[in-house]
Amino acid sequence: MAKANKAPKPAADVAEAAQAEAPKAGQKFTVDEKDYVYAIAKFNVPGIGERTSLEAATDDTQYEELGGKTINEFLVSVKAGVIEEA
Amino acid sequence: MPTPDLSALTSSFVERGPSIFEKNLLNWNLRGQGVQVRTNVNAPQAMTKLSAVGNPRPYTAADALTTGPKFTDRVLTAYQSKWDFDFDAEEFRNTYLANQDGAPFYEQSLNHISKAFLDEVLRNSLYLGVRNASGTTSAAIADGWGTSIAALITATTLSPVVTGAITDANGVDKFELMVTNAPTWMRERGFIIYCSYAKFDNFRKHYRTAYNFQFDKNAEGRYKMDNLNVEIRPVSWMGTSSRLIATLPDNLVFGTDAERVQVAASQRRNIIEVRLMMPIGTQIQDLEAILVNDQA
Repeated sequence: MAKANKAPKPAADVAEAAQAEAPKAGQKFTVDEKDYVYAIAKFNVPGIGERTSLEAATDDTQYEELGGKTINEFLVSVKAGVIEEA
Repeated sequence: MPTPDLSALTSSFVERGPSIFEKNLLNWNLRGQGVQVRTNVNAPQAMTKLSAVGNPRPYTAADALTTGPKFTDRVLTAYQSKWDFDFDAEEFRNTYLANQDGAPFYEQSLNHISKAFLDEVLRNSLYLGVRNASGTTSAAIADGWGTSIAALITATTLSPVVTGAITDANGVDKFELMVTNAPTWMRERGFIIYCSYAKFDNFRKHYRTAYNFQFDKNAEGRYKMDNLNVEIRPVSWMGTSSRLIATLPDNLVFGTDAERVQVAASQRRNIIEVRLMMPIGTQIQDLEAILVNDQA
């Protein structure tokens, strides 16, 4: 039988504690004159790999894997859940 | 206090009950869905994960020490839950109890409530549950897998794959995007993509439009994706969620304690007071073996 550990903290507390050290969400950017904000601090862009919101927000590269779009433009075009309208 | 003898209380309810009350109940078939079920969680259980940090490298005389073995256990805790209710036979005297034909009504009632209990847990606790000991709903019993995933994303422990919105016009592409972003070892071993029936509808409608025939089960009755060792598993416990969860079988864990699954009953005058209890907890065993998309 597995050894019992002390009771875990609720998921919300774990998230709060980890977020204190983790990359922050909240970076703003504009696509087609519309303002957006990152709701998630780190995500995986298909074909590109993991990016923090800070890296993505400041990356102006137009990726072939994203159909010639920047990451910001791609996220807006697919209605990604990692961003919200500001 | 003696157990109330309701054996004489029989009714057409016993016969009609299942068709009237059980038609909306869902099957409690978690193991069949690839979920690991632990029935001995009488205390928080560490789900051991041992990994190795470091790697072999070409020989040099100098030391190059690394951590070596590393434990990243995740802990499964089951929280007790309950459902209290009164049973007053007089309420049913002139209806369901009007026809007494020998079947114990009490047993049938409990049987029904038990199924409803499991149905509540399945629909409201397992995925979307948010632990709140002072809560009054089944969603407050324990954190569900969906809640844990959202917390792990917020904590940047999990990086969701940006699939974007999943629709009837792109369902197949989005599910395949999850596969292409999965690590090769998972693809070689084979995994399950859990989804809601709404997202499964998006997949099959897009499939039908794209290929002019329907997406069908294989010979084993499973929805295997074309030329991939990947099974799509629509599940009712994800409700209307747009989340896709790609993971190995048995990586989502449900915990209870069979010894604390109890029914307590007592009699107050002619009223029978009943309490059903069942511990409930969920966890994800290995975070390296799970991939989710960005849609909640």
